[in-house]
Amino acid sequence: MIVDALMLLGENRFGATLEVPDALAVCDRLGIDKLVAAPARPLDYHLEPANERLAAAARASGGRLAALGRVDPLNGRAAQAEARRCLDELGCVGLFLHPGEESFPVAAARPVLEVAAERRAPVVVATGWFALSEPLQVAQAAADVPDLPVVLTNGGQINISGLSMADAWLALTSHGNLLVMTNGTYRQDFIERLASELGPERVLYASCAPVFDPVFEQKRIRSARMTDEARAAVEGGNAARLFHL
Amino acid sequence: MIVDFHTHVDEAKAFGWIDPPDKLIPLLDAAGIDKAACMTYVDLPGSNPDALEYLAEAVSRFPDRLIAVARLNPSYWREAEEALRRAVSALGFRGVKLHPTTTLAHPAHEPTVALLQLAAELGVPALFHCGDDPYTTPQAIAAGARQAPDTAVVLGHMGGYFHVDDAIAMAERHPNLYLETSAMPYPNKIAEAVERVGAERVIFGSDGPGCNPRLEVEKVRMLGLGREVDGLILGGNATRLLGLEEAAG
Repeated sequence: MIVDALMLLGENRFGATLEVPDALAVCDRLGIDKLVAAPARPLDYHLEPANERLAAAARASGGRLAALGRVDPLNGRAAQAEARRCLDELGCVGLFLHPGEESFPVAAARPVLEVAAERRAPVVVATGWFALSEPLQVAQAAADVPDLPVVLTNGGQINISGLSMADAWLALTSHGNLLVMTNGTYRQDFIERLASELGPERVLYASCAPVFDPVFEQKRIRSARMTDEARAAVEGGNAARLFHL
Repeated sequence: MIVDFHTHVDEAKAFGWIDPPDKLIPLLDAAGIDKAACMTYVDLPGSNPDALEYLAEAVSRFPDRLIAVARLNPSYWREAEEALRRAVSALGFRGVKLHPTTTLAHPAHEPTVALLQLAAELGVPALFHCGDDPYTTPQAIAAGARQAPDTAVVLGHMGGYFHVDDAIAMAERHPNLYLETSAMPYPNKIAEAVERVGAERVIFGSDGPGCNPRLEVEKVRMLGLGREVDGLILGGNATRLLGLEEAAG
């Protein structure tokens, strides 16, 4: 089973909008069986209705789409309440945090992480934003909830000089509850190292469309050298297990 | 002919990046790349005193495939200029690579500008690492390129992750700026660059062997830009800038 473990769907104030039917059509074209998605941040800034819309689309998808609830930790207790609502009432399979777009340091997400940890629901964190979600900052936050799976996007780092790879590697190798997504990763040999040395069970294929191109992101993971067993885990097995698809 | 404008050949133990030419050549073969401009990971003078000799040796082993580019540290001023003169005039190098993240030499400050002007005098292009860190942004590099208008200045990675639109905008304003595609993760931005600055100033690079050259070639081809445009991006422009036809003739 092939799973794209992250798209950002719905109206998007930060860039291109990709709606659920179009995303599922992309999945059809690329042979992707299931999709995990979080809401993009809508123009009106309100995440709660966006969570409801995406969760409803997931319930109507016949198991094709699973939703992550997106919360803004700067909302304090309301963020915790929204996290509980997403996980307990809306049927979300995990949470999504975007420190870059919501402008919060990942350390501020601890109360939300604790809500997820109580439910053993994985949390995907947009990783690599300077001063907000650098790989070692995310690792530090994840250390407070060691039983909670925390998933780093972007290979755990965003830096085209390659210098963040060392911090991402340090974060991943020193915190067993961290997993990592492949979207936009610099470089391809880093993905191969993750799969071979960190362990394929901790790597998830994700496109993060529409921020990244889903066709190219599939080519990215298909071009990475790994065993057939590792590929099966990375391209879908791990996401199916983590998100109970 | 496909020419890769940005590859690495080096054994940089401090980084743990051990990439001798034997690692690169099979990846070029798999990607159908005929020739590749190659450079080290670290700089001369300074942390890599034998860089020119190392690259010259690599090219001598694969003379039909590799083209040497000297990665230099402008902060050493005259030593860097002498190294570039020797690299081009005596060793057959065809360009200079500048990585301000590792050299801490600002693109618009005098030592770098002097080196850029020397590159024009020697008839070779300058490839900058162009990403998201201070000293490497398109605006910083453009400020240097403005002072060396006769130098072909290539923005490697065409702005990285967050500065791609800036790189295209700077290339629109400065006719001596070129956009190089390696590792930049948004394929459609290559098509946008072609539309806004022209295919003659968009150059394929892979940043191999760390980045997969075959994937990087596919990133250009998947856009369906047509044979003529693909020909310029994937080889024609690099052939012109690197002077490969003159070298062959």
